[in-house]
Amino acid sequence: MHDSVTDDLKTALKQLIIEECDKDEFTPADIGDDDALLGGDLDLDSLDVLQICMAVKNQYGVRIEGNTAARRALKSINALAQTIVDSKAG
Amino acid sequence: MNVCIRQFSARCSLGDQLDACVDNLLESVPAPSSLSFAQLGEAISLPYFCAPREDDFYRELEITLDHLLQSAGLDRKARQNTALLIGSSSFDVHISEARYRADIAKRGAETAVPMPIIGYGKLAERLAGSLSLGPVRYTYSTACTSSANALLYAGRLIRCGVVEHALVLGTEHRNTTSALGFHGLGLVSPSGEMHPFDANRDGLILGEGLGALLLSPDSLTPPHERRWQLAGGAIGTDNHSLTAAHVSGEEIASVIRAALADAGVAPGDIQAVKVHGTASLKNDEAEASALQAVFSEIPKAFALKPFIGHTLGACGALEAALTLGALARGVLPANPRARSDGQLGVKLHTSAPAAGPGYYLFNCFAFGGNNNALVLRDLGAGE
Amino acid sequence: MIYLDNHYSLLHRIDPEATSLPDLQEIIRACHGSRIRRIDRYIQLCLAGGLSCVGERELPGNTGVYLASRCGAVDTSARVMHAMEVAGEQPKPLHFVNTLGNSAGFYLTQLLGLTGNTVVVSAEELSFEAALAHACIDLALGQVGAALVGGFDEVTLPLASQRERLGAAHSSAAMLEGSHWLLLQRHRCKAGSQKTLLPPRYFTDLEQWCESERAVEQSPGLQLAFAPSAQEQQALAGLAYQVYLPENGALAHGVWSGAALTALLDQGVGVHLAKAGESYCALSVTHA
Repeated sequence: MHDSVTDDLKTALKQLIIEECDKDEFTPADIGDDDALLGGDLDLDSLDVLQICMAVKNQYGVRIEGNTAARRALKSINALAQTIVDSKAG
Repeated sequence: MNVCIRQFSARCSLGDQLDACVDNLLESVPAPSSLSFAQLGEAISLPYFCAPREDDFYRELEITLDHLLQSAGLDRKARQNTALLIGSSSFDVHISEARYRADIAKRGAETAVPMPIIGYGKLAERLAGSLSLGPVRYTYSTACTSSANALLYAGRLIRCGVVEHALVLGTEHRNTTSALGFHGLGLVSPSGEMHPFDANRDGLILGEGLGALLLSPDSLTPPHERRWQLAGGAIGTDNHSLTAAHVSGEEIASVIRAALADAGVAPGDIQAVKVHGTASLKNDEAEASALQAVFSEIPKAFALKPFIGHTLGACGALEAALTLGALARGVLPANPRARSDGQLGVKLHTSAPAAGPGYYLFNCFAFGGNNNALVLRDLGAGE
Repeated sequence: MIYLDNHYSLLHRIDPEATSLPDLQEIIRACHGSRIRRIDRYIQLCLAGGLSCVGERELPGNTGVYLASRCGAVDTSARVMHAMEVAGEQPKPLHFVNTLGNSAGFYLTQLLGLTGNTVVVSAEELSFEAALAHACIDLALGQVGAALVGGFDEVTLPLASQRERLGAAHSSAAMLEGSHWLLLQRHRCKAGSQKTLLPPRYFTDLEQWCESERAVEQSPGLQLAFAPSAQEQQALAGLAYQVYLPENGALAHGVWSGAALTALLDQGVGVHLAKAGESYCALSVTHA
């Protein structure tokens, strides 16, 4: 279902992050595809990272395990979407 | 007034009685068993230090506590003047989980009520009632410091004259919520080995058990039960992060200093430190920084979690009881498998040194930044 | 001597048919200036009450925080259990950390800039008194210079499940949700009300206690946080007392006695009496 990075997937991931991290002052439109998720305007912390990884696993069946992999995948929305697509392809 | 720790007992992966626990503690480092979770959509198996348990959880606790009261010879009147203080992070949630499962099977997932048993104080109410204890019944819910806080306030209640005696119980029973919760936070060791303060540490292993201690003022304690005192302690709050200590160790150092001041001792008076030592990356770093800040030379240090796992809310009371059990035999527990890479500056001793009279520091820290430090005094076998 | 600097109580009535609960983030925002994310209703109750009680006051650095809850974070704990047992999923990290005892105190002390003694205690219907008793011990021993004492218990939806947990499955009454707070000082404060309180006293012999109360001259009045049985009414005979119960038969639960005590303080001074099982706890508030 996600064999390529689509705008729908990216919007869905933005929505997932806003909901899982309780960032309700943001809308998907506020998050740029290449914006830094950690340390940027969203300012997510390590607990948010764990929360997002668990939600991605439950929703997309994609495991992002370990601190290094998580930080790489959560570099930006584009990176996260690509991680999901790559994992599905693999 | 001095507050004596008259009687104590333990149950954990090392055994169902204090003596057996101490025998094993001083002999070997057991490997953990494991927990798996049939209800999950994915296969997860976690290392876990399982303790021998009785079929009836409530009865097991009651018998443990009653044994301490009887050993100290507290009669009905003395029991009425005894407070019960329970510390736990999970209480009887394993029974709540089992009841919910049965409810789902019976009424279906739509109707079944999750978390059917509520009320932290129910356990204390039930136990104090069946043991004929007095009306002061406090339950502490501060995650991993729960029973350390119970012990601290047992001392304060006695010092204030609120009660004559205080019975402290720390308890943790294996349950799905705690095990999967810690796993989900990425804190459980993937290698299945706990190496506190080692550069390659990769997390903790959970465990279950209970520790119970009976405290009285020295004026109400017969001479042969006066060897151990709760000399002092303190609670501090580190609200830097919800799930990890501030690596500077600043708040931990200040709670240790406050505990030493409360006990009226100087850092140089401490014979040894029972570290919290969860082998988590940040928490060990914070604890090591704190010990370095407080002590010009860090005293002998030992960790008990590699033997019994992190027993969460029970660890304060349980690890105190195990330590006293070892001290009663004239030795300090050691960590024979500790790797001494020295990166954090805390070296756990690897062979059991002789232990003498003096003051011992007990560290215990919790999620949400609740930190506890206690100072126990050993007056020596002559007392 | 323990001085009462301030008290605050929040009490919401939740209708039996309710499908949503009153907004607490608005109260927090009014105190703190912004919304706090990732906190469940249990933590929100703590912050809404605690921040309101402190208000604009500058707390001394050695202020202790004494939190009481009879049942804790029930809704989040239930979500965690549901996720595991029904959905077959691991608990979400944010849900799990919010089920832990210290999470409410973590946020409260962080917002208030406190790093001293914090504890969370519970004792069935005497939970609020338990927190207060801990504060009194620490004030008496000089462990803290001031004490912020708060008790809170949430109502969870659906109400039918909550009633079942409370053993009131057949009740169709409204429920109350509260957060009740006291700010205590070791020394007489410059401003504020000048009431003092004596540490809670625990006993099991109500008759004997009533006997000693009857001997007190000019008793300031007694308020019960429970409906006395016929036997208790007999013991209380001759004492002027009132009973503080929820209006319109709403279901009292959780730290209800905290609501009773703060209501007594609204009126003035007096003796507060609460009970759990066979145990009683009494507390006197007087003018300094």
